[in-house]
Amino acid sequence: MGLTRRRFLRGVATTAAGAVLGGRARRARAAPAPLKIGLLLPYSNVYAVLGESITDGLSLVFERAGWTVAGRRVELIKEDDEVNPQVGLRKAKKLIESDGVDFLVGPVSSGVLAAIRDTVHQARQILIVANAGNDEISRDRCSRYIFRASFSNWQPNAPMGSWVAAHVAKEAYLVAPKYAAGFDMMRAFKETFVAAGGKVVGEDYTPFPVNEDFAPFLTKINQAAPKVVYAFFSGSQAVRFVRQYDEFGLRARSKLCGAGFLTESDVLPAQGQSALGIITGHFYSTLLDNPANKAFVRAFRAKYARTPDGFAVQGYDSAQVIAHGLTATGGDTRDKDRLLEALRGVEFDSPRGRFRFDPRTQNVIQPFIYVREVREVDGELANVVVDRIANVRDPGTGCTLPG
Amino acid sequence: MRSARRLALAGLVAVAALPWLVGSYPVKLAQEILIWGIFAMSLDLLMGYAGMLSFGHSAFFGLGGYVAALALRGWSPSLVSALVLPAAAAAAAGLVVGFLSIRVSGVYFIMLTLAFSQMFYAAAFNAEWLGASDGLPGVPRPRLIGLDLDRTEVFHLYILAFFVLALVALARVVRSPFGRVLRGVEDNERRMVALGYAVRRFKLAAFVVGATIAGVAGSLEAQFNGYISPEALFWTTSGEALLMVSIGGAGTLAGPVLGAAAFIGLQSLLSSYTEHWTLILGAAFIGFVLWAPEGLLGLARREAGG
Repeated sequence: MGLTRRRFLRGVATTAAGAVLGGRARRARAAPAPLKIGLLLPYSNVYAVLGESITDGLSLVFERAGWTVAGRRVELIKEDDEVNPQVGLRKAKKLIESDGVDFLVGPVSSGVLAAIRDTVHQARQILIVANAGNDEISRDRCSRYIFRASFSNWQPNAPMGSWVAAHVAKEAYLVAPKYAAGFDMMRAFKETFVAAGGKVVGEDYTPFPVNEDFAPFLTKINQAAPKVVYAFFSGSQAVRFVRQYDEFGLRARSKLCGAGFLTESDVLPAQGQSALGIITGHFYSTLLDNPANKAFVRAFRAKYARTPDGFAVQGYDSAQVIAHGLTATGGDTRDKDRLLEALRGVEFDSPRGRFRFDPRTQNVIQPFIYVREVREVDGELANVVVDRIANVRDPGTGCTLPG
Repeated sequence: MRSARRLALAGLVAVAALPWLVGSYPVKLAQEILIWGIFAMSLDLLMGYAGMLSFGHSAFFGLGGYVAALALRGWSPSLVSALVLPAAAAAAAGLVVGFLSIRVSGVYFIMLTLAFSQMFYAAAFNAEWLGASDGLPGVPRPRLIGLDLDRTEVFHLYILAFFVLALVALARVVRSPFGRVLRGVEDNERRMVALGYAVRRFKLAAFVVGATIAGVAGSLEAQFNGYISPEALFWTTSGEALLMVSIGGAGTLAGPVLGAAAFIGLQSLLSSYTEHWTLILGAAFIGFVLWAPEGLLGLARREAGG
C-alpha cells in the first residue's frame, strides 16, 4: 500500500487547492471588497448644479474619512440620470444589476424617483434619497429599502401653513409651478393654513419647466390684493418670480412667503434686493449656529470656495447615514436585514440639527423647520432664522412599514 | 435575399437565447432595444417609405403607454389592456392627427406633427390625475394563461414575439401594392396624383398604421418599466427615434432596429464615462448623414456587395 500514482495526485491536488483557497481567504481578510456607492444624479441638463452640490457634500464626508468606511474602501460610481425618468430607470438598473452597488444615492427629480421606486424595491436595493421630495415615497409607496435623507414636500410647507396663519395673515394667494412637486407643496400648506382659520383667496399654477413671464399671474394677484402670497419656485424660476414680483410693486402690499427653495443660497445673489423680507420655511440655513454646521460650512468653503446650500447638506447627510449604518454593522453589507435595522437606527449631528429617521416611513424627521427671513448680513443677503418648529415628521398616511 | 433571411433568423434565435447566456442587465438592454426597435420601425414606415418626416411620433408612443398604464392598473391585467386598447387609442389619435397634418407637407408637416405631440405632452404633464410630471407608477404586467411575465426570460420572449409580429406585419405592408404606392408617393407625389391615386388616403392609412404600432411599442415600454411619464410624449422621444432611423438607414425596416441598438448601446455605455456622450452621438450622426446617408444597414450592404 505504498504511494500509488492516484493517491499522489490526489494529495498534490488537495494541497494545491488548499494553498489557493487559503491564500484567497487570507487576502479577503486583508482587503475586503470595496464599498460601492452608485450616485444616480443629474450631471447634465437643468438640475446639473444640484447634482454637483449633492456630490460635493457627499464627497466631503468620505474624504474626511480617507475614503474608507468601517474598513472598506469607498468607490463612487456616478451615473447621469439627465432628469429623465426613462434614462434614470435604465441607469438604476445598470448600477444595481451590472455594478452591484451596495448603496444607491439619488435622485434629484421626483419623476426619476417615481420611476425607479418599484425596480429598487423589487431588487431589494438600498436607496438613500438625496433630494426628490414626492410625498408618496413616505406614504402609500414607501419601501423598507428606501430611506430619505432630504425631505418630503410636505415637511417645509405644512408647518408654514400654521405659522403664516398665526404670525402674518389669514388670507393667502397660492402660486406654484404646474407639476407634481408644486401640487404636493401647495396641498401641504393649504391643509394646515385652512385648519388654522386661514382662507385661500386664489390659487394659480404656472407653466413648467419653462416660463419667462409671470405677468399674467402677477396681474391677477394684484387685483386680488391678498395679504400674503405663498409661493414655491426653484432655480431660475425663483429668480424670475421674485424679481418680477418686486417690479410689479407687490412687495409693499402683499407679504411674500414660501417654501425654502424660493430663496436658497443658489438663487439669492441673482435676486438681489428684491428678495429682502421674503419669509420661507426650510430645514436648513447656512447661518445655523451649531457646531456641526459651523464645521460643515468651514470645510465646504475651504474645499469648494463657495457657500454650501441645503442640497449640499442633503448629500452630506446621505453620506453620514451610510457611514453610520455601516459602522454599526462592522462593514457588513451582506446581511441585508441587519443593515436595514442599522440604517433605521442611525442618529448623528447634522448641520440641520440632530438627524434621525422616522421608523414609520424611513423619512428623515426634520429636527427643525426654520422660518427664515431674507435680510442683509455683513453686506450679503442671507436667510436669517426668526422662528423654528421642532420635530417635523411626515404624516406617512398609507405607509405600512412596521414602525 | 435568402442568406439575408437566414442571417435574420440566426439573429432572432441568438436574441431569444440571451436570458440564458448573459447577465440580467444586458438582457434588459436588449429588451429596451427591441421595444425602441418596434417604435423606430413604425416611424420608418412614415419616413422611409411614405416620405413623411414626422416629428410627432412620440404622441402615439406615449399615448399607448398611458392607455396601457391606466388599463392595466385600474381595469384588468389582460392582453386587451396591454395590446388592444393602446393600439386602438393610438390608431384613433393617428387618424385625427394624420387627417389634419397630411394636408401640408415639408417643414409645415414637421411643425404640425411636432405641435400635436407637444399638446399631448403638455396635457399629461399638467394633469394631476395622470400623476402630472411624475407620471403613472406601478404598472403591472398582464397575466397570460400559464405565463409569469414577471420572470425576465418569459417577458423577454413576450417582447420578442411582439417584435417579430411588428417586423413581419410592416414587411408585408411595405411589400404589398399599398407599400409600392407609398414608395411612389415618396419618389414623386405629383406624378402619383396624376396617375389617379388618392394619395392623401394612402398617406393617412400609412400614418395610422405607423401610429398604431408606435402605440403598441409605448405599451410595451410601460410594461417593461412598470411606469410611464410625460417624457415618453416629449419631442425628444420623437427625435431619438428619428436618429435611430437615420443612423440605421431609412426605408429598410431592419436598419432602424440596428439604429436603436446603436443609440441605446452608446447611451448606456458611453454615458457612464462622460456626460458629453451626446457630442459623440452627434458627431456619429453627422458622419452618417454626410458619408453614409443610407445608414448602418446600407453600409453593411455596400460592404457585402463589394
